[in-house]
Amino acid sequence: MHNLQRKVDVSIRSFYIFNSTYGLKEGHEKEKVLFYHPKDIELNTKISDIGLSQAFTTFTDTFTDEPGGCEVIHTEKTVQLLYQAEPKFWLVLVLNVPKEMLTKDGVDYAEYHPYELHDDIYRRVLIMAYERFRMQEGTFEMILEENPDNGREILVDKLEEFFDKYISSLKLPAEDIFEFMRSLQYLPLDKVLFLRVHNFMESLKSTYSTIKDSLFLYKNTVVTCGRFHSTQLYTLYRFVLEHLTTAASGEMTTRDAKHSVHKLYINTKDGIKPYRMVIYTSTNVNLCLFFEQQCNEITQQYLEDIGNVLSTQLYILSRDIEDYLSKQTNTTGKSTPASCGGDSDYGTKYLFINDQSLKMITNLGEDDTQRKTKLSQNILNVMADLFTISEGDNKESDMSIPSQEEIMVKSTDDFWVVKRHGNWRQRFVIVFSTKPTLLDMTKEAERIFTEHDIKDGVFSDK
Amino acid sequence: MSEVNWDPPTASSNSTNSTIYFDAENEADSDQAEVSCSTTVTDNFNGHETTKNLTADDDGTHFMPMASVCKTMTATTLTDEEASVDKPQSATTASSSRPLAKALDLHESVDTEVNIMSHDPTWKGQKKHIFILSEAGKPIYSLHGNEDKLAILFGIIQALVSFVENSQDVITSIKARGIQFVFMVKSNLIFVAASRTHLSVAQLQMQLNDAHNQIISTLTYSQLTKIFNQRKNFDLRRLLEGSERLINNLLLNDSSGKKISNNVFAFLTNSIRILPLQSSVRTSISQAIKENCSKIKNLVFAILLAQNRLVSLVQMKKYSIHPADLRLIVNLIECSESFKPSENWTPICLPKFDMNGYLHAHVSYLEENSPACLLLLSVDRDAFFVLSEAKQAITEKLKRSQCIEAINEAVMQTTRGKQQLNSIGIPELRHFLYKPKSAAQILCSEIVAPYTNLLDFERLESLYCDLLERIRNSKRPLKLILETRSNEVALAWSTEYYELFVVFDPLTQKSSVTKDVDKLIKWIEKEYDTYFIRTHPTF
Repeated sequence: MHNLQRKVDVSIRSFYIFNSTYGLKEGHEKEKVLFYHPKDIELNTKISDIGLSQAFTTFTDTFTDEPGGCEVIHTEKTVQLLYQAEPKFWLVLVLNVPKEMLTKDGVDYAEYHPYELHDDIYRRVLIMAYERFRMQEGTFEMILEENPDNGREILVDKLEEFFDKYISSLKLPAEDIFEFMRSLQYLPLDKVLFLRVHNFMESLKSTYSTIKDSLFLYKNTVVTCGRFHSTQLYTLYRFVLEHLTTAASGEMTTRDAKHSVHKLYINTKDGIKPYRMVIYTSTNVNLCLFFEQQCNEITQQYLEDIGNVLSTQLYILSRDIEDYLSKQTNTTGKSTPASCGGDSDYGTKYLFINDQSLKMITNLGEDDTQRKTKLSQNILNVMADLFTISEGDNKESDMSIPSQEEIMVKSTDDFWVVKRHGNWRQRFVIVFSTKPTLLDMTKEAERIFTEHDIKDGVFSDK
Repeated sequence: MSEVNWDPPTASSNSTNSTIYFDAENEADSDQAEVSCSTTVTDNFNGHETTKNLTADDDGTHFMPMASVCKTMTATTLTDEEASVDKPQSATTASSSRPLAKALDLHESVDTEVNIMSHDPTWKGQKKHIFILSEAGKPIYSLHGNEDKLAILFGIIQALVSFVENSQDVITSIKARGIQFVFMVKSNLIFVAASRTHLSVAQLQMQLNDAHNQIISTLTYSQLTKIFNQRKNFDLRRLLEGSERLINNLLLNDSSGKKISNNVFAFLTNSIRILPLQSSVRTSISQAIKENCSKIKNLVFAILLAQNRLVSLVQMKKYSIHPADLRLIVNLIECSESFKPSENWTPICLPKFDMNGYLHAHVSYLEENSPACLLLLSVDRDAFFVLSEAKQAITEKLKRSQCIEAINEAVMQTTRGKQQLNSIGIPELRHFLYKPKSAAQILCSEIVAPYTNLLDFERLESLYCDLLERIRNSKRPLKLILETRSNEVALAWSTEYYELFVVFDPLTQKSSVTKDVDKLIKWIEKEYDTYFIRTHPTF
């Protein structure tokens, strides 16, 4: 007799970082280990885990001229995700596959559900962990170069300090579609207001040539995002948001400290460079300005001066945006202006993503302000299947125009997804019902795509 | 016509003693031993002879004597070197982590030695590799390249598998940039696929299963386990000699073998293609088979094939043939030109029917130059002459009723692909697959331009692989997919009764897609009895 006992969800078995060229001499293998979570594991186990990962990478390299491509290893009980973040530096995340504990004829056994874990989603978690570290601490190579004598020790310390905290903050199962797609919520403004923000930023930059880039946020939405590469933008956005939340929940910021300063390593066209990011806050607006780290001009006084110049303008912009948004709410009766629908019975959801600006337009989770609405595992995985991950995490994404494609799927458990891909946009339309026929669905998707094509023309993407 | 071809022995009986014993179990030579060598057998050969008789019929308890024969043989005939490796199983487990450590310690030497072979750009550039090795790491088979030159790679595979096993786990797959690896451990053997094709993990597993079934079909499962229980590091290649071509052909059924054929879709859906025939013709064919076979005892299956397609299948009551077994048979016929001119008598194990015993197959073509091949499978090893007579009678009957002509005509038709599509009357239709859920049979429309070009066919194949994976995989099955791409519009639809996959011209509108699909389904329903067999008759 099968009889459901309990379900064990996915969990982290281990997370480790190693350099395959360290500790080659016999007896020195432990030098390979740069970080290992959990800590209370025998050193021999750590070394043999790393040895196994390395054996896998050697094995897969045998078949290709581009080494270092080993990405995922599946066993019955685990999924191991590998990422060679920098030459010879590997990050490995090992997950316990979710399982159900069952009893048959009095014998307990586990039934594993590997399909619940989507490789792409969890590999993205791993890559984002590295990108976050790199943004805050610089590349592994940089840390080693800065410390020629004790580079490895410094690196080990930094990894430990960063990842201990980072891992404990990871939420599993990973089920945030916005995070997986690295999409950002942009604030839809009318033309005039948008241009005012834009002009303000431009005049600020021309006055202070030390400002290299900027990010203008209203609450948790992006108004303008400077020239950051899309691979950098999401990590940066998350960092700023998290910083603001902790700052707000922490002790009340005093009136004098109108800005906070961070050293961040930003991925630009010329490689990864340290920048100084200063956040200026005025009511709901947060303006992040980026200066080169090495620039001597940037003193505390200098930043104060900029702050003084900004404050009035920022305050006025913040007030006007707020006014605009409340007017929108009054006219449409909805908080999110991007909402459409009304004339459809399907409760259609949509999610549009611009691959270049990461701009997302969606009505998923519209009803709760926290955007915490969870998609079911199945629909999340179906969407992850359909999502095209832009190639080259560090490279410039290739500029050839991707061909226009559309795919429409109907699941066995009552939902439809239509995805259109082209012109650097991935657009999803989701209907939670199997009632509509293929033609109904075509019409419904067409209606939503057309509506947004018009809007997309009005609001400049970048 | 009357020439009888006893399959030739695949290895000479004067090789080493230990080989003789196992050779006798080989694919085809069992009865040859009895017929032509009975007077010249050595003691050892006599030993084998007894076991042979037993394997032919069934398994289980009868196998005990063989084990003892085997034991005495190992004791007396093995060289020191060979004997010394025959360690108890426990020892292997304990030491199984050693090779991995060794592989890693010798990191550099591994690199250089493996690279000797992987420097070969042709080897590296292959779209698909399949490796088979024993759990002890002995090379058995490689789709490309000589296994001996790949010994180090086999060693690494064995080490990886056993290392993971040591933590009470099983490795199933690895994904690297652009390459998918799939692992399978079964019957003391390790199977590995490395693929740059669009086959999914599940589809590659099916191929590995096919390779496994082919090995079982040659040796039987009980034989295989017996061998490895006796000697962990036995070199199985000696026993599989001659059957590599069968494995090759099974594994190269997709475009990685540079073939443009619908066979791959039959494989992917685990089903068989049917030769289109008017149902009255098909009925008289199976009637002819039934009439002439119903009195023959121990006859299990009568199968008539033409051009990889099933014409008719008659089964013993309460038995049915599994599609995977049928695929092995189709593969055997496809690979064996030598069956053409003569009557043949060959042992074959059908793993899904009985993985521990052999059936005996009378294989012959109905007439010279006829594409129709008749297989009569019996559990009786002495049935050759009875079956040969039955075959004569069947052929006579089919000739008189002009069924052979009808088969020839049907085979000719299959090569005029465009006509079939045109007769449906959907101009934008390029290709389709239809599989009823109630039968392991598939209808594939003939391949027409642009897919007669290898590159375009590869695109078609990858499209179907992807659609099939999404529709059939247990992970998150979909009911319906409509994909619009620059090269084609594709639809996949799974209903209660059938699965349908259709490819249209790229500019086909969705409104016409629905109309076309309706029309296609109506056409298939009308022609169903020509393209499918509803029930297989019994003797």
